Amino acid sequence: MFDAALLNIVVYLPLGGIALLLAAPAGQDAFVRRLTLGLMTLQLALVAWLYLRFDPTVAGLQFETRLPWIASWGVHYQIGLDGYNVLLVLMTAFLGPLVVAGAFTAIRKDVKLFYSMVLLIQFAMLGTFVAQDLFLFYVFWETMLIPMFLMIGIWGGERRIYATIKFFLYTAFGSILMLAAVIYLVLSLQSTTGITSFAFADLYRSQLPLDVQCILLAAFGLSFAIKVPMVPLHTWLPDAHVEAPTAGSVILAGVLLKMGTYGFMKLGFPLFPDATLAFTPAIMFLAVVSIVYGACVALVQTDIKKIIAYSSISHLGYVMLGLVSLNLYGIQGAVIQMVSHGLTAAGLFLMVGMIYERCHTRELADYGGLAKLLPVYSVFFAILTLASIGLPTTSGFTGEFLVLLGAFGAAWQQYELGSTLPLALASVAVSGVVLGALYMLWFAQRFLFGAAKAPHQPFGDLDLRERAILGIIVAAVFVLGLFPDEPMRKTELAAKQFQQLVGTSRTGVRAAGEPGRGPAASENGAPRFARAGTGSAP
Amino acid sequence: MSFPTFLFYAFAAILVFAALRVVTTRNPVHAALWLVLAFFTAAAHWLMLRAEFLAIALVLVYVGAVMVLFLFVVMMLDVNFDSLRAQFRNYVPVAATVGVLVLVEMALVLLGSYLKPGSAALPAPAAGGNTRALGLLLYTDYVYAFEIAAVVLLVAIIAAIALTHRRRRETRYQDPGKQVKVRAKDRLRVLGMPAEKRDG
Amino acid sequence: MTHALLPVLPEAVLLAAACTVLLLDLFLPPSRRHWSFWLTQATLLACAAITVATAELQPLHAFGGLVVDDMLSDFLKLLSCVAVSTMLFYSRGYLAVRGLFRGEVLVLTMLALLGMMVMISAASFLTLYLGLELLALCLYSMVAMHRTSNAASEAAMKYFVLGALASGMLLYGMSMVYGATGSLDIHRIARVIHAGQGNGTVLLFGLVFVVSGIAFKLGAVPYHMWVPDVYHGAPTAVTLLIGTAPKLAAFALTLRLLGVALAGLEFDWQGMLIVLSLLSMVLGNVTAIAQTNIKRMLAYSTIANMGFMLLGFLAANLAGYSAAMFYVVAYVLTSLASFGVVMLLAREGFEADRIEDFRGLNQRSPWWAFIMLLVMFSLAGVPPTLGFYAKFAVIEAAVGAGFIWLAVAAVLASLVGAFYYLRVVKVMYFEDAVDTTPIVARGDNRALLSANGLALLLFGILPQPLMGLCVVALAQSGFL
Repeated sequence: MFDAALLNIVVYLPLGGIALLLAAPAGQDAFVRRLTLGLMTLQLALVAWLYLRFDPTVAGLQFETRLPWIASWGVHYQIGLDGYNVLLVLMTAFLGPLVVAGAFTAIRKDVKLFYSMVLLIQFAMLGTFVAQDLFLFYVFWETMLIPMFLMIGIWGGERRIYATIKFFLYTAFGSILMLAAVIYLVLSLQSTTGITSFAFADLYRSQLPLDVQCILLAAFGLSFAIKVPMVPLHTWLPDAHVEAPTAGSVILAGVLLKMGTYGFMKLGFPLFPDATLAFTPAIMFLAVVSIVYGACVALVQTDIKKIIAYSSISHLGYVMLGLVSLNLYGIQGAVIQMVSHGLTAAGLFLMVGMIYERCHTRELADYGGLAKLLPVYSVFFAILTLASIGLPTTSGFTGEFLVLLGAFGAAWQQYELGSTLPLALASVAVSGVVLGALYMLWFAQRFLFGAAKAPHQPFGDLDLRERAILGIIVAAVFVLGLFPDEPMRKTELAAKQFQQLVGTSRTGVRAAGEPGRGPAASENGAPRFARAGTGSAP
Repeated sequence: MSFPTFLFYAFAAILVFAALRVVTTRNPVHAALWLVLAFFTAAAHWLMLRAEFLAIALVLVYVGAVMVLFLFVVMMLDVNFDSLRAQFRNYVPVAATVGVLVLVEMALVLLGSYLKPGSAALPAPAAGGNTRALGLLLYTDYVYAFEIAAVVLLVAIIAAIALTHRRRRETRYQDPGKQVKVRAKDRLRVLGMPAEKRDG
Repeated sequence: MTHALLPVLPEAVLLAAACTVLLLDLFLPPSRRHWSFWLTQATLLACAAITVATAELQPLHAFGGLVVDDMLSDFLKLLSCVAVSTMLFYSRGYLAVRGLFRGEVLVLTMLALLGMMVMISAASFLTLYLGLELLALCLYSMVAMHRTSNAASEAAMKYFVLGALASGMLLYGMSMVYGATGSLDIHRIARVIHAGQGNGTVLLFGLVFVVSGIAFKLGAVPYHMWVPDVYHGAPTAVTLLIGTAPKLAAFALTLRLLGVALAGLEFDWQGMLIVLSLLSMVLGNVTAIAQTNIKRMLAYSTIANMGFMLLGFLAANLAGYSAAMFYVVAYVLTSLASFGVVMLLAREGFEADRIEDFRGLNQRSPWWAFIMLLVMFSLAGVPPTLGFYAKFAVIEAAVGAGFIWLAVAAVLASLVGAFYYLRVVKVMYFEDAVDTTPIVARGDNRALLSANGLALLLFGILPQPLMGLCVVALAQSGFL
């Protein structure tokens, strides 16, 4: 009970923080910064406490809160932690203070509004992760858009307006189709089972005909794939990343992109298992294309932020690959890869921000030999680069290795059944590792080594604040790389549940593909639903 | 053909012709007069339906009051209607096409199923006359609607005054109240001036 | 007898007060004009209070079935009073600066409200039509009230001519329905149609004209031509009035005509509403993108929003009607705030009606920029604002009734809509202020506008009370 209340406090803490910030007198920028940092740290402490209290042997929700919210529609306010989201919540809370501290010197315009937006987005992200009701999930999911839109638009670079509107329209396009699918899903659940509910647990039990599942998965998947982003829906990402302020990039790469993969894991695939199985080769193909394409494009970028942006596309391709492999290695690897990418990408973007503050350019050609100019910076940069590549002992290794293991496992299984495509795709995916090493190392070589040059010299090396931020991230990267079994234990049951939800119909246990079990068809072919929700009339 | 049927067709023909002339004639005064004729024939139809109150009200209100006022306005304003009509002609082809289309559609649907020959029986006149019956209904069952209609008229008055009444600066008018209240010292100022002396 | 008059007590009080203000204002010097204002506000408060106090669960008929006093009418009347009162608070400063803060405006506003109330509680074609005309006549003249403005005169002329045409169509349709069924009473008409009596062809013809008339009044495509010109040309205060409370009355009109009287022809009018709804959503949203004037943009947004309202309505069941009603209520709340902000920025000789006038509003006043942000996101249907739930409700109703492709079209249209609402946000937040005149307004105006904006958020977080009220009101009024 206490822990459930604590989870609510964690989620709403940022909102309270916004109220405090708004009440703060104008011109107190330093106070605003410290207050936000304090709140974020407090939040991290609370989340860490919840994480430790999280019992890996219990399947299903922990610290659950379930209250009626919109009775007319059967919507509940239901939040809780489970194996799916516990790591992501921890990662989000972990990145919070770093984002805040990272923006201390970079943001000088409208400081109060900026930190309010950071807090708001933190609130929305945590809410999205912990929501266990589809409606609530959707509301949080969309709420994320507003602060991110403003953050890129107000504090972004030259082409910020173009980038932010593109970002908004892309993501809104995806989610609005998801909205229609949500409505259809809930109404069909109602007409087949008589339950009006948006709760994930209830929706998992819906049994739709395959064709309907395919359409709904396409709608959900479009929304999630835009967020991930998967090629060819990725074009908003480089623009948004490049134009966003550092904090925005960190939030985008660190957490927001995981919303897409989390959405697939928590909703897209388990809700529509038959369609997922039908689409597996296609999803796998797109995932591999994302891995390779992202890596290839990163290779030729001249803007350092763009290199990291495209590397994100590549890394998240692994996550998708792991998820569709549908075995324990792949799924757990995907989760670890999500967290790992959150750490490394966040760290790299923070470092780009730090150098940008000093030199005011992101052109790679303007830099060189930073190892001589900024030795401490270069050490951190090298470590994060290697983590991004996936060197053993770093978190990137654990994730990519498990994902590939899972992908090959699934591919062999398919191969024995007579399909060679998955095997071919998995093999191509391996080449992504090589390409990743290529572009990151080449980038680091040009950036850190060679003749020393950088505009706006002289500048100091990293100060204490910056060292602390990066030190914490690097420590986390190593911890996750060296001791991955603790987080993996926390997610194991969820991974099994995911595997069971998505994969069982392969063995014929689940008979959801049967015709005639979906919503009753009316004479014009479209289903007509009986309507509940009128029960609120006294 | 019975005599009432003959009368109906005769009046109907006049009504349609007069209504057409209202919109086709060039002179607005003539148009108003044609409208008067249209009202009269419509009133005749009502008479034949034994709705004598409505018939008389139509003549009294529309012909006696509204049209007279309208004629006044037309004569007073001296608007050049020809210039207004110039644009009207541009729209005639489109308007005519749409109008004819609608007419044909309606005719096709209605003539097919509805306008079967035959006539409905006239309702029996109310005891004590239609006027009395109307009055009774109007001030009992329909008093609410009657009041609302009155408010609509009130709005029309308020709106008309609010939109047209203005005190122009250049208008000269006399305010008797002010004239009466005026005092000598408001109009007349007595100045004491020292006499000038002729100096060399 | 007193009991029989109880259902129309709010109307009676309103009429008496309107006449009082009309007379009183004659003898008031301009410096005491605020007496009329506060008397008007007191009247609106009294009307709202009476409406609440006399509310009963069971429908009550009066005047031989001309009037019905049910939960639906009570709820809508209450909201209309609140909306008109809010409108007067918002527009007081605006009108005063332009020399329009006169007794006539107050009286005409009250009489317009009277027209709305008559429409809302009408149970007969006669009262429906009279209420509509009363409302329309007041609005026509208020649009023209700013006599020195050519745009206003032109708008008033267009509004009047097209409005008269629409009234004529509606009346023509009503007379056909009367001819086919022999009654003006909506419940009796429904019974006749339900029993299969009445001439089908004539009924259908009447229906076509009735739907056209309604579409005209709502401003649904292809009967929307008057909306942008009137919204643009009228003084913003009057635009605010036109864009808010009358929508509630128009909803009641639609519901009583189609949902009650002609409910038996559901399958016929559903098809017509599909076309109207789809065209309105698409055309309204697409055309709004090209606008540079915010009043015009909001006019096209109104057209699109009415399309969404019809989307819920055409489900033709309790879920659909309550969704449509919730949508209208949400729209009115949002619309009030949107024009409220426009008027807040206006000052003498400056209308603040171009989108670029909002440039850098965040720098000039973060608070009002935030309120406008809420309004724009609510109009765009982004959670957690009220507009999202409204859109969700109507789309859910449409899907529930089997109009899935229409629902998909609706969500796509709303995405197009998001683009131009975002543009306003963009201008406010991402561009630098050119005009740095401080924003001045009366305290009551500020407080009310803030509350209005925050209500969009509050009802977005807790939509259940408002939504439940809509459902209960309709269920208690016999829509099951």
